[in-house]
Amino acid sequence: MRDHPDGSRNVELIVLGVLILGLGAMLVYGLSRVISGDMTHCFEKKNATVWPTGVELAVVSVIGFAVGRLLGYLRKSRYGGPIVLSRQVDPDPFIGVGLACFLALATVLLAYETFAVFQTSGNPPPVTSYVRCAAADNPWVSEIAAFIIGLLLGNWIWYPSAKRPWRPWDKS
Amino acid sequence: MSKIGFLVFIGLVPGALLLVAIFDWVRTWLRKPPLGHSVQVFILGHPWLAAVLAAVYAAMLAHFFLHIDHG
Repeated sequence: MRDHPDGSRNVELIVLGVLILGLGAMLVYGLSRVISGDMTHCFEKKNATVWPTGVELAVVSVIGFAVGRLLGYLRKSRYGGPIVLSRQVDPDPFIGVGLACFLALATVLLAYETFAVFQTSGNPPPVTSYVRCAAADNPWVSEIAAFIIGLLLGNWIWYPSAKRPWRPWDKS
Repeated sequence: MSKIGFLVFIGLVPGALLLVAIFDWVRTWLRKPPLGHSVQVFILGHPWLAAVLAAVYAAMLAHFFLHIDHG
């Protein structure tokens, strides 16, 4: 497996660092808005968007997911390790644990969502209502956050198996 | 909706991703393969997991984002 050239690795570190800072800024902004904001006027849309906010969020997420794939090509070109199509390869145990945690978290979230949607009283509120509230409060910030989240997920779970998109059979 | 619920939501979704992104950054700094590469190696050994991940991601995206403008 080829090592990173130092210059290329620095580019990766800078790109990832910018994404981390962006996500961190979204996190701090979201927390500050929750602490200082008024939850009783959560569903009043304060900024106009071109399309319905939900559609824009979904589209931006999918675009971010695709850009994450392109970022994967950049990283693959720096780190062109071969992908061995074999069950004999011993995978990184941390990755298995991490994916198991992700699926466990998704299961808990979806179970909570099912329970919340089933309640006609609206208590506890479904996760969708939190997304709706954040999107109504500031759709542009929500879309940037959705883009970054989609980009990171696309980079991790849609990582390319070939260095060049026009030669998908080239595995190295 | 409560403020505590909102804090949990924000801490859980972007917060967890932020931790994973930092983990990926540290791995890159340590000259280890990108996280996506390691995930791909793992998934090639467990293709059913790839199908589950894709289904879960698509379901969450559709449910949490689409139709939030109505009601």
